[in-house]
Amino acid sequence: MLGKLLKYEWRGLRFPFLVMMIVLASTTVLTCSVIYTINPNYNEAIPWYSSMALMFSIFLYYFGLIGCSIGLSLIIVIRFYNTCYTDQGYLTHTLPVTTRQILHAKLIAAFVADVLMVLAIAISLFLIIQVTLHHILSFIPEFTYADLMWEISRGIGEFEEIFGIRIGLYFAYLAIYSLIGTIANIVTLFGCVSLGQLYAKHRIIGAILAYFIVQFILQVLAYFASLPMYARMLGTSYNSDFSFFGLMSPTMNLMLFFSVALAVFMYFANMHMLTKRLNLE
Amino acid sequence: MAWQMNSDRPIYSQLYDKILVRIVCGVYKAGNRLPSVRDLAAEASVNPNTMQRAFAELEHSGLIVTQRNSGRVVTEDMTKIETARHQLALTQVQSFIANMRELGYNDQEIMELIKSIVQ
Amino acid sequence: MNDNNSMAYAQSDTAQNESAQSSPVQNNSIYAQSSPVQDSPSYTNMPLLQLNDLCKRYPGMGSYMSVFHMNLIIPRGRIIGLLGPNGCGKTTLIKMINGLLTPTSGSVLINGMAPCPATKKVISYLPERTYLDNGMKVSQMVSYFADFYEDFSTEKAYGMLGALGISSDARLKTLSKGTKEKVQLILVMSRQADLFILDEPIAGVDPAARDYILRTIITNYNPGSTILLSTHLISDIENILDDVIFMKNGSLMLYTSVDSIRSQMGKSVDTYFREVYAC
Repeated sequence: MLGKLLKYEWRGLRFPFLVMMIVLASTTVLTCSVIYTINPNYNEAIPWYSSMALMFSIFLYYFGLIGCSIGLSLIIVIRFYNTCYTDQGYLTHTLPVTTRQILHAKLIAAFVADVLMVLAIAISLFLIIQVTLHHILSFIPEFTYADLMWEISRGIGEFEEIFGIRIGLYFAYLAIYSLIGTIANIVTLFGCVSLGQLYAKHRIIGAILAYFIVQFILQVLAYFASLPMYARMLGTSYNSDFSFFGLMSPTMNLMLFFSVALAVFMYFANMHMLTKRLNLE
Repeated sequence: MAWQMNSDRPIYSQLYDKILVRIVCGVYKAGNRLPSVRDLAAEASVNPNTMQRAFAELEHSGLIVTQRNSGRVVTEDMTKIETARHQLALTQVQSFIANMRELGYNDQEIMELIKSIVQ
Repeated sequence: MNDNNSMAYAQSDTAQNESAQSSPVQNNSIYAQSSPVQDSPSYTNMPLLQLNDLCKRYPGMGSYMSVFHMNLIIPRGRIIGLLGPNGCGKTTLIKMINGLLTPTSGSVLINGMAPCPATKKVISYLPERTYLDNGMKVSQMVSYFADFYEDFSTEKAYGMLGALGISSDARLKTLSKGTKEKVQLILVMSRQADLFILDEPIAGVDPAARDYILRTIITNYNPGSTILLSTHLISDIENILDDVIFMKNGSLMLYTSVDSIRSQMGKSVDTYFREVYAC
């Protein structure tokens, strides 16, 4: 049954997701092609129209990115609200499945969509950087792409010295951090919608209110989480024991802990609201 | 024949009467199969259980018979059908006479009126 | 607040007395021989639906009980009308049977089980709301139901859609409210469930479709299943009902057979209803 639920969750997200992919792809292609038209020779001034085009396309690309990432979250949340708490809830909650399966299907589908979106954005950024580099290097005959790669690999060699952690480990840490962050974010968004149901007369306003309260609490927690970082920074001015990662890690770990705790709380809040407190209009 | 129901009597007994009339008039001939409960219930827009009950009552009075392989059939016992027919006729006449008496006719006037109309 | 409660108690007492006079259990035994219930396949010893002292109080409504100490046993093989004026707790009761609301106290048992996936499997529920996803096509909705409900018959659904002239390629958002209700009813009636719960199934559709729907209910009805039908259009459906349940202020007032109202009171359920709930 979880599989069937997932199938229909994906079908519900498929179309808007596709639209966002098209937006992302087209702004990427536009930006790349604008970059190609620019001639970065030192002795020639860049014509006004190509700098305008560049500004415009970067502007579009930027808003495409923001739109896609916020848009996806918004669509996931709206779908959750519609299928669980509006008239469609009558169908959702009378399917022969457990509430847990419904919630899990929605979480998994949203997580997959989020990860795919992050991958798509990463690919798009990579493409733009590659195009820009190749284009610029084509005007500098004495410096090749291979030279650049060699420079970068030397930089990576020095990474551990500066950051205090091996680069692979650092990226693994970041990956886990953002995966957990993504899950926590989805559960929290769903939880805000669910908790909004407590405000029976204006359930959407209740959800938005819940979101702001959660954000406020997160800000306060972030402040406390940053205290060890400041303490270590003060410490470093006397003796430079701490690497960059050494400075950051307690704060990041604390934030990770807070978001896991929040996610667990929100998971149970969702379950409670979807079972015991369910009250469709 | 429409399946118009009155509001005051139980539906099954009204169905009983209507099916009885159909049997007496030969719509459902002696020895022939009756439509299924479900079909007849759908036709009359009534609950199948109610139709079932009407059938049970008809069976009870011996006008229909359940056979193992061919379902419900109208009885082949013509005297039973004849008796039922007679019973219906009696009821009609009795109610007619009662109504006429209510209008102030005496029995002789009723007879004369009938004679004049039948001729 | 206490006064409110004691008053409701008094009402429930009278309701209890009235229903005792014409207990539905007794009615069942009258035509137990002729009832087609015998061939119901399983769970024969468990009542299909049982309410034990069921109460529901909504949060923020003070001590007012929307459903107040309801006790009820509903057997298999009946078509039952759930009748009562607006706001008498019909929909609240139906929601609790479907697991859409948690009872404040008491319990709902379907085949002996509290609402759970296993009970949702055997209940086919038509809410008064249109719960269809507007972005979907009719055909997608049909396959959605076929996917989730094992007892769903796709052929039956397409047969009925065809009979009512509803295109299966149409997107639901392009259909009128009445047509959506028809689609929804077709989906619900295409299942072979133990218990059909239809909340106001005919209120929003035209008289011609209403006749078709009633015929559909009769022809799809199988002797092992029970249909619980809530409505305020009593005269339209009276002929297809076995039993009626009258509710008032969240309490059970009367649970008896249509025939016994007609033979004991000498009037139709519709007329009787108007007298009982006269304002």
